[in-house]
Amino acid sequence: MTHPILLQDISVRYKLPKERIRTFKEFAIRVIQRRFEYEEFWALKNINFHVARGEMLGIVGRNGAGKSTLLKVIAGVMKPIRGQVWVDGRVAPLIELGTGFDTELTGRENIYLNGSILGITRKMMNGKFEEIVEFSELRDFIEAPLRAYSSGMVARLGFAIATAVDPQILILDEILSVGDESFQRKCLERINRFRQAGTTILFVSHNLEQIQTMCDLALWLEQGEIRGWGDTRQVVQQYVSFLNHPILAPEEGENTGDASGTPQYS
Amino acid sequence: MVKIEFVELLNYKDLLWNLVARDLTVRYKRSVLGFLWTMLNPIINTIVFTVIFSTIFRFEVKDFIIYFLSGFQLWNFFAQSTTAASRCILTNGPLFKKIYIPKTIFVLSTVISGLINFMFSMLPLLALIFIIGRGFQPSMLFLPIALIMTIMFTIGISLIISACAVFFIDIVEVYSVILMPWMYLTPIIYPLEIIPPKYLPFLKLNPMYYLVECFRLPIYKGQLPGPQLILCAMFVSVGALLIGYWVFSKLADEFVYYI
Repeated sequence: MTHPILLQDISVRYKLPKERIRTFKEFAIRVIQRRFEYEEFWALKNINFHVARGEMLGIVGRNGAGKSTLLKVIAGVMKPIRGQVWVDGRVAPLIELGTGFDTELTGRENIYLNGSILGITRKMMNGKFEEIVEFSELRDFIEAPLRAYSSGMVARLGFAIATAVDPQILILDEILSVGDESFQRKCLERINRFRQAGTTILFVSHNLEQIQTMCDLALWLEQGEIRGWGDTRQVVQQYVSFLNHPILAPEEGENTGDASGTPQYS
Repeated sequence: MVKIEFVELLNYKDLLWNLVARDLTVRYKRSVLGFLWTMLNPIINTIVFTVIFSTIFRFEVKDFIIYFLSGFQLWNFFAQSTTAASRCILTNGPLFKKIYIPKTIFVLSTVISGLINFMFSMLPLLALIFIIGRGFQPSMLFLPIALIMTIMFTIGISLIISACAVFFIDIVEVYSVILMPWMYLTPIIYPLEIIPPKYLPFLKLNPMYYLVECFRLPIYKGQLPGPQLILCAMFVSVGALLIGYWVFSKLADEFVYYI
């Protein structure tokens, strides 16, 4: 198993019924009337790529391109209708901050709850507890219920927990836009430490500057397909020029993403 | 990447306990009576039912309280656990939409919470057994087995309902409406003897009948349930668990798309 993340021919399909069926009664009526119309929405189409160990991959694309869906497939949240996913190692996804937090419980209780959601034992969390409180700067509030926390505080706690658990794969979905200057700096510092330690990182962002400075490689998704994969600068450039002159399908001869499984370098 | 559910659950042991703890603390954190309520509930129920059924309806049952409570408590465990479980996938949707979690864990945690409540509610019954009943009897050693079978049945039903509720939310309400007549179709408030023989076969189609009998007999009559009874109870409990697990795992991958 060479790469920690490997996607082969992944397709994800949503079935959107023309009229939403929410109750069994409606379902039964439909069955009798044989009215089962739905639209298919392919969020991902034949995705092939891999991420090498220790690599930091930036993922760019317009809203609705399929970035979040891709992350969810990698995190094991969604099962694709076609294709195979191989993910080797503990995944800490930061797809939305405050995931798994229960507002009735205290900060301390939430740390343990969140740790267990990430698959960490209580014993391991005991060792990490101080570090988490330290990093999030929430010592004075750690015994207070989470509903007393501001969104910034929740963000700090979430990030602190996800990074304290030493994941082999870290997924960051546009979360670095939350938090003030000093928090952002701390996050970037920690991310850099992870890079040096050889953690594989997936970084989704609309902040193209950050993508270019931080990522080894970039992946550009548009309408569920890979339009670019390879050198960060190059891919970002392709993406930017696309944004300026949107074309809905790649033309012949255009430098599009290689779906065969090798990234393109300049 | 095939994840075997049972193995996964072992990895997530801590999450299981955390979910149970969360359920219990959240439930009782802001209530005045807290855990006392689990014991108060059966006591109040007993008083009401005893008054109604021994003075108004007059079922001649010796030690009606013990007969009633031993069946009623077990029923409550089943009813409350399955009812709570029916929503558990829906309410935890936000959680497993973002992070991978073996989803059976939510059903398990609701059943375990229900079990803990059941244990507390049994305390008044145990007290009664020693005060007005026969005290400890060897047949009561069978109780853990009866309880385990009921737990298996409960988990099985919970898996089915919680999975279906994701797609058809009215199942939650339909199920709570079904529960009431289901209880009356189980000999809990009345002894089996008062049922006319021609209706007995129908009553015996009720899986809960066997589970309640297996639990009640050792307490009430100091007897072990007969082999036929035990076999039916096992069949029903293992069957429900297997079917429940099969239905749930077939549907689990689709949950994310519907929540």
